[in-house]
Amino acid sequence: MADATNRVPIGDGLFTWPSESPRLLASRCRKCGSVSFPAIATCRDPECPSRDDVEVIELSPRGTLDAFTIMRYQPPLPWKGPESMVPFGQGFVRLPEGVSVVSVLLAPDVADLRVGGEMELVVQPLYTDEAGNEVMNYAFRLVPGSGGEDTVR
Amino acid sequence: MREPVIAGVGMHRFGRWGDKTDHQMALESIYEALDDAGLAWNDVQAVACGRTMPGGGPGNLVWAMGGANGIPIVNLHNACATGGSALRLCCQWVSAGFHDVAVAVGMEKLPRHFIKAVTAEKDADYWRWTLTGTSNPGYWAMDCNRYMAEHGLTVDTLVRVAVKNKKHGALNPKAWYQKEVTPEQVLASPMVADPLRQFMICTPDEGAAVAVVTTREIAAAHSPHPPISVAASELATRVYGAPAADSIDLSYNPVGNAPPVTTVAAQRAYEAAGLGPEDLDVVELQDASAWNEIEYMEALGLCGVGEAPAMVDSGATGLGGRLPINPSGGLLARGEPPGASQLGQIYEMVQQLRGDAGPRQVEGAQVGLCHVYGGFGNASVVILKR
Repeated sequence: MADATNRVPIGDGLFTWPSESPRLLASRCRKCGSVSFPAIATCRDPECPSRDDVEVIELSPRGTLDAFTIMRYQPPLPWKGPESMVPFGQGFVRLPEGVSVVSVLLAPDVADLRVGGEMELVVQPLYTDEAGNEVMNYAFRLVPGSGGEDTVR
Repeated sequence: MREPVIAGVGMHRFGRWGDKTDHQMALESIYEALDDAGLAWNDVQAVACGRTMPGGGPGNLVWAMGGANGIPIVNLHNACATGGSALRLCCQWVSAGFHDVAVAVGMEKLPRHFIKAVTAEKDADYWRWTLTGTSNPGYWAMDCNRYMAEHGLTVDTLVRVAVKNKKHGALNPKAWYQKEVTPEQVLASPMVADPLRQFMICTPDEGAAVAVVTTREIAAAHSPHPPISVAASELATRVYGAPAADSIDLSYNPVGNAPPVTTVAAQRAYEAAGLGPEDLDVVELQDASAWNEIEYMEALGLCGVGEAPAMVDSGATGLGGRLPINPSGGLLARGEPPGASQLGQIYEMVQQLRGDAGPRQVEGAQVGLCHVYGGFGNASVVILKR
């Protein structure tokens, strides 16, 4: 069983790690409240006069499914997820902070995914890198009880 | 401002061409377009050349093959809106009087399978691939599912679009796929991203297409064909808050009612042309998948929101229907070489408006619209008029 020392995040500043209950990290404009994931140093609302007055916030771990599909083919590099993952869900999850985030979607049965379904954040290994580290990525999974049985690890 | 017209067009059949370079395909298309326009190599005063794949100065290399003569050449890359961007630049040059004869070149030799990130930079495109593996068909399918949840679109209608466009393509000697498919074949093709199957999705490929842009006077003096007026050639990029498939990033802000980029480009084009969707006789649009034809029919205002499936089911969008869409076979039959794609549409539309489209001819076509949507939130809408 891997311990915390060889589990590395897939990118810096994407989510809190290490953490028992990880959260996605985003930037929020202090002037207009526009939220960006991943965090950026600027405000991307063209109507907002503010340029770079942003703070980093933790996004809510729950949201609703905005749009989804079931991908039946192995995506090309730079995706490094294992072929055994295919088919898997992909979609946008709308979070209460006013931002919709694209993500891998997990469900005991991907056929249970529905627009409007309740989703929750998980951080789990995507692949093992050359140095033997487990590379941790975020995903959203169907909230147990709002679809099929929860058998996701 | 002078009215830009298309005096000649050329197109290398889209498809797979082995070791043949897209430079060679572009050169052959330029020769065809110049012959079509009745103009000579040295009559060309400027070139705008579009290609999306890496490799420096494609326009310079092509022009040197035919005879370097010192004219300005601009190379550009705007994803699937690349060809339209080259055309727009040529129209602006002619319109403003900078040049009298300008040539828009689109060329591409795209690898097989999903169109993927080609940059080594860790930009937003890199991260969305790395973290989510979302390909173009994935994005299209996501929006399709959302539409299906809100409106009455069924898989049967998606199949109808695929069958229609392949049927049109079977009549087009410049299309890659010149073979009809049955609904059963579409439904038996492998699922790629639910609900989109392989035969509902366009294929990356290779090809080139060229348009010669000039003034009405020069066209009339040289070309045996009626000049085709470029009534509008408009570009737009994504607006903050616009829907997911336009997104180039890992997130978007669903605020207000930001219009999709295609609608923004279409509104600009209708305004520039002084025309509306009701004036169109024929349309070529970005059927990257069968779903996208539904999506863009509505975004272009060809029908109301939620009305596209019924319009497809009625047969109105097939040859002989009220408003034929993609008489060339569209991307589903031509495949997509992004740099050349919209100039391939322009090639078809010029044949239609001249009355030279043979078995694909839309009777009496006077006004046609060509639309592409490209990655990173680029849309181009061109309106041509006899």
